[in-house]
Amino acid sequence: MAFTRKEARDPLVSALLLGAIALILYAIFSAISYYWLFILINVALLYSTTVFLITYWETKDERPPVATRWPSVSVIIPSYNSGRTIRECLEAVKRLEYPKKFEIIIVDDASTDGSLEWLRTQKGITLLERKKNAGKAAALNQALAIAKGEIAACIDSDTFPAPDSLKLMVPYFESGKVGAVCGLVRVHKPHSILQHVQEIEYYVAFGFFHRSQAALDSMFVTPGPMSLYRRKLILELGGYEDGNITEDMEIALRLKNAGYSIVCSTDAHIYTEVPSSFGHWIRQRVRWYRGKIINGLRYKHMLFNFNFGHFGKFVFPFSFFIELMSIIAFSFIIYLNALNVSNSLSWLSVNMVPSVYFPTSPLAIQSSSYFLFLSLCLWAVIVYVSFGIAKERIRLSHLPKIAGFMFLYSFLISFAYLLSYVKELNRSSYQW
Amino acid sequence: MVSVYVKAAIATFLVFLLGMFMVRSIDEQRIAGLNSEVEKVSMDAESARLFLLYMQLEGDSDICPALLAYTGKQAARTFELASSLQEAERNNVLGSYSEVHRHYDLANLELYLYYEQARKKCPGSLQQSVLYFYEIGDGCTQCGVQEAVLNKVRDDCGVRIFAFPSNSDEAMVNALVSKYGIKQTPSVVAANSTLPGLQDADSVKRAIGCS
Repeated sequence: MAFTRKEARDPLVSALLLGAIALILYAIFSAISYYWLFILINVALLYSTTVFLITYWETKDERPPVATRWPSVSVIIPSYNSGRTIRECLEAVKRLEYPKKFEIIIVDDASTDGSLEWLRTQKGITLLERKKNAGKAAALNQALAIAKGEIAACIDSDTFPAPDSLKLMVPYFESGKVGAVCGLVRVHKPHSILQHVQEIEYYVAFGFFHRSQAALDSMFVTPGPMSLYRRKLILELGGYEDGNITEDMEIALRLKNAGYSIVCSTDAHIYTEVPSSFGHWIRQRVRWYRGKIINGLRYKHMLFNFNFGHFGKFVFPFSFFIELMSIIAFSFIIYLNALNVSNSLSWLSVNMVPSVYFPTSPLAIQSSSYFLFLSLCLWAVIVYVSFGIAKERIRLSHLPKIAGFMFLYSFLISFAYLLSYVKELNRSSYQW
Repeated sequence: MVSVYVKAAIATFLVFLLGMFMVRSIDEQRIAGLNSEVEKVSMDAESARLFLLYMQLEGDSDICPALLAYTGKQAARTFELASSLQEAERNNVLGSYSEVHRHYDLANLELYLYYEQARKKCPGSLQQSVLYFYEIGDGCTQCGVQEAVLNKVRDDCGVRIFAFPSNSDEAMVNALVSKYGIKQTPSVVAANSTLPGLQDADSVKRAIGCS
């Protein structure tokens, strides 16, 4: 399967579309008092997170399935210029505990950093060498076609699964309905502030939310770092979509569309490298969120479709609703601050001195902001639960990261959503 | 079995009610605080009235310095209260400010009129007043800046500033708006001349003859 990219939009048409959206947003901001808008967004967030929280509490004592047999497994690692991480990745894969011997297939996608030469010296692996770089999906498809395992474990070359992860994930395939299994993706050796905040985000997103979504049979992504699939099923469905910027989401939606479930074993810990700089982070997020828009449009028939259960009637549509709400809230904050900046500039212009004008006394906080306090309490509970899922204890040293995640990170995420929608509207080129 | 959506809706509704209760009590506390401040302005106006009554009865202009000091202090407090009132209203969700506004406008007008009367009784001893027109609501984005500028003028020149909302329902305020031809906010009236739009400190100082 190959993904067809739409042609870039005429700059004038893009500008007109963006202008129209800005006008609509301005009309919303002028018509609705911002405190009511914030209350509405807060209530929507409260409701959605409460659905997931109740689901988690109702299912948290469910025991993982017990394997009655251990199917054969093929570990597939696509590698492109991964000289820095492939050695550690391969070591982690070789340490995987599994009752049966499993094959390891590494697909080198025309690397130029010397990693291919190193891979050629490795024993116990099947190395596929591509002459021309064709992307991750093409590399995975090539390996899936020659793999012998009943289960394909696709692992990124910058990912290091915990030794027991494979053994914990495979038993979920006992149910014939399960098409893919994923684990709890965690941040590998965080060192920058951004990575530390992402560490908390990953506990919440891949721990709490994935577990709750799985309980509602509504997972719609098989995380790229490591996911397990029924190999034949993926081949029957046409393999990974070549050229799709989030092929891991597309394959998950295709599985859902075909009536299969995606489940999550949060006991299986999978460590992966995450962006350390803002530039890298925003490129990654824009790719993820643009991929969601593209795949959301492709599978729009699932939205509000009760035939797809909780996924169709709630999880999938609400995920877009929350994104749009975040964009509206973020734009509104920017709009209000632009007014304040304009006032501050007025103050500078009338005084001709570099003074700072504070439009509002810090004590006179908008009443609806107190409403936010309740949302923060709920999120504090979610963070606490997420740490529990990751089998981590909250220590004093975690508090600054948690504060960064709860108070500042959401603004970055909203900004990434906004940028993604603007870029997708503009049909800008994709960046990795 | 109750669906997870219904349970979440009930929980969200309860949290929403709790949130609204919090918001309401914060708004009411703010209004109560402002009401008590406005009450003080009202009492100040009453004191100013007594000063004037005493001057009329006794014909005693020796109390002019005391009146000067007293009205200066009250006018400053009243002007600051106008800012607090606007700020609190901007940050309000559920409280009603119409009563507080009316109460404030009346007390402020009273104080302004007594001040103008006192200026006539004590020629040369009392500083002229500056009128500042703002807008109730979010319409005037530059009013906050104008207030900061006027605070500086007040500190530098010792003038008395009286703030009135141009979109008030109060007839007397409307009379002032019409008298000075206020068409936009912020507007400043200094030495009987109207300065429309955001004014810098020097323009206001020039108009009142404060170097």
